[in-house]
Amino acid sequence: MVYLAVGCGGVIGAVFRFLLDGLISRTALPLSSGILFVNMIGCFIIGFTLSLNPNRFSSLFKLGFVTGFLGSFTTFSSFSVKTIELFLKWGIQPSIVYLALTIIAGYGSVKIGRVIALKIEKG
Amino acid sequence: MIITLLVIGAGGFLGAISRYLLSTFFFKWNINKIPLGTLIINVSGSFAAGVLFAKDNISETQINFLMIGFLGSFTTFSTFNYELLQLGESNGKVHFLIYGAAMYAANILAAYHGYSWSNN
Repeated sequence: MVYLAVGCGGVIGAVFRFLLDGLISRTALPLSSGILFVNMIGCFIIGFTLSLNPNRFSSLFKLGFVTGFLGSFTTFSSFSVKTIELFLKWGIQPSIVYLALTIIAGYGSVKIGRVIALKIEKG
Repeated sequence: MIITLLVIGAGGFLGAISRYLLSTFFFKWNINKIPLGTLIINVSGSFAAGVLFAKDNISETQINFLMIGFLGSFTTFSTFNYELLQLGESNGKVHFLIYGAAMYAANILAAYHGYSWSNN
C-alpha cells in the first residue's frame, strides 16, 4: 500500500512536470526553463505542507503526496543537464545565471511556503 | 500524446519507488546531521542523466521513459530544499552552506562527467 501511494504520486508528479514544463518552455525566454518554474512551485508546496500541523495528514497521504507527488514533480537531474547544456552551448555565464536563479528560487519558495503555513497555523 | 504520458508515468512510478526505497535505506546516513541520502540519490541520477544527454542514438520513447520519467522522478529538488531549510534552522549556517554547496557542485560535476564519459 505504501509503495502504491508513493508510485501513484510519482506517476502524477512526472506527468504534471512534463506537461507544465512543455507549456512554459514553449512560451518563455530561452533561459527561463519550465523546470525552474516547476521546481519553484514544488518547493513552495513542500515548505507549506510540511510546516502545517502534522496531525492534519495521515502518514499515507504524506507518503503519496510529499514523497511520491512532490518528490517526482520536482527534479534535480533535469536541472543538472540543463546547466551542462547551457554551458556547452553558451558558455559559463548563462549557466551561472541559471544556477543562481535555481538556488534563490528553490530556497526562497520553500521559505515562503513555511512562513505562510506558520501564519495559518497561528490563526 | 497518451502513449507519451503513459511512458513518462511508468518511469515516474518506478523512479519514485526507487527513491523511496533508497531513502529509507540511507535514512541513518548523515555527517553531523547533514543528510547523505538525498545527495547520493540526486548525484547518481544526475550522472545517469548526463550519460543519456550525450547519446544521440537514443529514441524519444527512451528519453521519455528514462530521462523525464525515471530519472526526473528519482531525483528530487523539493526534499533537498526542505532539508536545507531545516539545517538552516537547527544547525547553524555552516552545515547549511556545506550541504547546499555540496549538492549543487556534486550534481553539476556528476552530470558533466556522465556527459564526457558517454561522449568519448
